[in-house]
Amino acid sequence: MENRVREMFDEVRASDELRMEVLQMSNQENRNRGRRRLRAAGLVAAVLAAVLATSALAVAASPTLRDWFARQWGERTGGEISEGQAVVIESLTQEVGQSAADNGVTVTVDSITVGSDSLWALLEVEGWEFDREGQYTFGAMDVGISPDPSEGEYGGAGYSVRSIGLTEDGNCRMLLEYTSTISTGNQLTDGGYALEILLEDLCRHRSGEGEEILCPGTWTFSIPLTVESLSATVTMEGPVTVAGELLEGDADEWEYKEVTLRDLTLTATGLSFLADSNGVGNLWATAILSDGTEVRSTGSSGSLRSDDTWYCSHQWPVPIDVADVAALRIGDTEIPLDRGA
Amino acid sequence: MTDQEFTACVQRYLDMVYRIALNWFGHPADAEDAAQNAMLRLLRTDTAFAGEDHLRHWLVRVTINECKRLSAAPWRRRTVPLESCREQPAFSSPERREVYQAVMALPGKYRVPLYLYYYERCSVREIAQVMGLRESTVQTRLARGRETLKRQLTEE
Repeated sequence: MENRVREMFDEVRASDELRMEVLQMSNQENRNRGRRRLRAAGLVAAVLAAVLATSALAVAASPTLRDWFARQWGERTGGEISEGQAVVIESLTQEVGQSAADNGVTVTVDSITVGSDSLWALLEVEGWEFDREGQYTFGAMDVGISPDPSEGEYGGAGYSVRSIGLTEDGNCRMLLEYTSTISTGNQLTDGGYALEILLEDLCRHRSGEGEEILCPGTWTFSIPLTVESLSATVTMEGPVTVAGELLEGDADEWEYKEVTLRDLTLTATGLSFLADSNGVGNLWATAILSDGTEVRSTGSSGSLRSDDTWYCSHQWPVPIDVADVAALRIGDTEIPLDRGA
Repeated sequence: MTDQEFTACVQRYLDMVYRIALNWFGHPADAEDAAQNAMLRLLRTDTAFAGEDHLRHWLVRVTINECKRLSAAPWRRRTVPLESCREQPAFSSPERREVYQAVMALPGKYRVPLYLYYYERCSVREIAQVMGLRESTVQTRLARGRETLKRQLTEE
């Protein structure tokens, strides 16, 4: 049996992509990597979970943010964005039109949809001959909010940029997705914040080989966030008890444990709450709409506060109409919405 | 550590680091993050390694520590399209895939000691040191893991 185990592990190897990224670390340790870099006061572990069996990333020609949201919604729910939801998305979206040029390539931030702690920005890149089948990104990037909505408390952010299609003119449209952990209760839609973007080196992503630099360059933006959310926010003081999982002490196995939540806040773009332990770290949140449609979060984060509670936040894949949410589910625990709060 | 030394270490040890993390987490996504963190610590360390064994022992210990830290640390998760992720390695025969699935079906506390003992040829003492366990605990986990795996592979 031991030989069978050894022969099996002979064939278990790190992926080519991991190998490439590790080998490049010595050259790029001080550069920003959008897909893995997190900027935070402390260390935040980034974990990717493969869930979707989706089709390719490209959408219709000249995709807009609304096109992107419609496609995501259709893939996840099988339905179309409702009228109320479209109004919410419209209210959260600001036109920008800010451009930066370097080395013959111009990057334009077309528009931004801003949520409580996340945002989506549509970029258009021109000045290069893009391949319709290609996947494009930037070799290094730094994305942040100024001033810091975390106000010095533990925070953190994750972001990524990827191509989502070409325009009829052959320009590349890219989607920048940004999520942050804001344990202070501030929201990006409060007003007074700006989105700061630094992009370096236009790249083509080649599967198994990492990124190939097409055009060296630097493109920077500072964009005031002017969206004021008209969408309702639902809050529940709690406490609510859910079944969680915890890795305690020196244990190396997950154990099931009840976790108490309070101060749940539901917005068009996510759900946040305080938990008495990190036991909800492996759980996803789901918004259950009045017609039974279920929308599962596609991003989540947790951070330990100074009072030893955990601030947790989940992001919806597409802004939703809060008025249409009938219940929430965290892991397997369903929570009817208390609209009296 | 020079770039050349680091590149040589990656070629020699990345698979080992990845396999340890994979045995810890049971799936590639988290294993890749832990493996990358461990190699980054190697890149940044000032430790003067006394030899190859010292470096290898250090790397095993750091990998396990990164796995523990990642398991308990503040977290951030994103879903990605399935085609950008590998859920299971590709094996040359169905039998090896069955062995992999049987190993991955073991409780996590058995997987890492079994891997270190049978594949990396670590001693019980070394496994106890890197995992922060008593030697008797390691022996128990090895025995139970072997028994469970044997039963599973015999039943298939």
